[in-house]
Amino acid sequence: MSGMLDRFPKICRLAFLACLFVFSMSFSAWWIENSAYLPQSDAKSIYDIAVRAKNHDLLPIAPTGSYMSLCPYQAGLVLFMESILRFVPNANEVTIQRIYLLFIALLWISILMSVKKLFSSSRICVISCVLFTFCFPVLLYVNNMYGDVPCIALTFFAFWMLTEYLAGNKRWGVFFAWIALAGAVAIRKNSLIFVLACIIVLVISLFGTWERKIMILLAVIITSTVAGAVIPGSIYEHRAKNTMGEGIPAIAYIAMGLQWSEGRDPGGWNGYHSDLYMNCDYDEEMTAQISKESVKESLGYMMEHPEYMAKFFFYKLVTQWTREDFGCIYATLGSHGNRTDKAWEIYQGAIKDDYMFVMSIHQSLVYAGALCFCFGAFIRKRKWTGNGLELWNLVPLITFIGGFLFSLMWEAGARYVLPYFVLLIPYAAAGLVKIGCVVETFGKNAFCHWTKGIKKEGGEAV
Amino acid sequence: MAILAFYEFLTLTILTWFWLWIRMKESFYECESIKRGKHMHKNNSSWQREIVLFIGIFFLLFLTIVSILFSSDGYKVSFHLGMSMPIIAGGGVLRHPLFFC
Repeated sequence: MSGMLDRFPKICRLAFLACLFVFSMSFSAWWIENSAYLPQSDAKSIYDIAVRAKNHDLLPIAPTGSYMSLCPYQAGLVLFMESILRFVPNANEVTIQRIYLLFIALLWISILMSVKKLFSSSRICVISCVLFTFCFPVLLYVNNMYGDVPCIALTFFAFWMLTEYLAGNKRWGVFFAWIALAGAVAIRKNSLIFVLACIIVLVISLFGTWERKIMILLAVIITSTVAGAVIPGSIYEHRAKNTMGEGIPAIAYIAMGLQWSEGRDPGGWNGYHSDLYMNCDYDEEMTAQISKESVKESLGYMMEHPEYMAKFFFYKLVTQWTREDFGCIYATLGSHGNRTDKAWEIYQGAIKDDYMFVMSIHQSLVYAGALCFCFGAFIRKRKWTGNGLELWNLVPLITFIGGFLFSLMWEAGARYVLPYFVLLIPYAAAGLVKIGCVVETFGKNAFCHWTKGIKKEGGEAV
Repeated sequence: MAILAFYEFLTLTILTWFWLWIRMKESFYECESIKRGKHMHKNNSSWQREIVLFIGIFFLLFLTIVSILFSSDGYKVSFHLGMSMPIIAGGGVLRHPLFFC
């Protein structure tokens, strides 16, 4: 077998990885061109504001009566889209989607390099790449301009860069991590859970050691997060010479996340937060006060009816975390240009079932693989993790735990949990590889024992 | 439908373990452990790691079970189990030299 191994040089693995990479990119590109998806709802509002901002029309930057008055935290995504519209000649919706292709490439490479740093095993690297290449929800979301793909890519890239600095003291890692984290936070605010996970781990590591390296990283993470959260809104307010107000308070999203409207998933969007904010005449304090009462009322009802509470949270988790496609098929179904027949088949035709089947299997594999890793690392400790599993290696897992808890209370949506699912891929790969090792070692030992017995019997017979 | 699903599951399980047995006979090289893991810091804070892993096990066990049970339709459950088993339990395909360290 070792001879067989020698016949598969490194170049073959690299060629295999290159094939996976090309498949991811070409499938995503094909999907953008064939799905001909045009943004709708929030993504459309953001795109329209970006187009107007490019043409120096900043009327949407106002404390009332605008999408930005409701969601000022989307200023980062508006700035991102406006930058593309400004820098690329004749840019439109499809141009932005094509830029998202670059983020698919960045995500692919970041996963590969992060896993290489974490586990130092090329086999786990390859399996991670296989799992990501067939993670169709991410590839199919490439045409959705709501910032999910760039945010996931920048988060993973930031993790890779931070790990480079921690592991190898590479200073350029700090620079790129700062930019990536600021970008991720500016584009999507759910990257804050990753930031929080990093801060928790670094603070724990800091106690007792007071290493300069960790202090630098903490400073980088905190400053980049503040920059990503504050700068885009400030830029627009400065340009418009107006404010956007406070926006819908977070507690209103939590209040909506604890409601179960008829005909909707538990905790799903029902327009409560935006309606309330507008009915309160864009008064953030009053909205927060009423939302708090709504939260108390929902929790009070749940405490009185524990069966309802169990059912509510169970289905809230199930509808978010076990949806095979993470909503990618439904999210981009409507509002389209000249969509091709092949793309329609994925949306509503016979191929849809095949894709759903693959996504379903993939989802089970990622969860089961990550479970195997956690279980093995918990039970076998060093044997499963080489020379010892560092707490930093668990940052993506801590982010997943944070995301899981966050999904219990926030507005429910399968798309919102996709980043945490992608963060599980390295652990899933490690878990699958290790389970393979365990089974084969067990099989080898059993077979050796069996053959020894046969030899012994044969010897005795002779 | 349930009987069909059961037979399918049974067939796939038998095939899986037969295939595994063949693989085990073929695979006589030591399992490559992740032994080249690089140190980033000192091997500290073991109880924090164990807490994280324990919570991870708890949540992932829930998700693994519900992701299998709550697939698009009940019939797919058998496919899920049957198809996942060769890969999860066997891992034989992962032992292909192409994936080897």
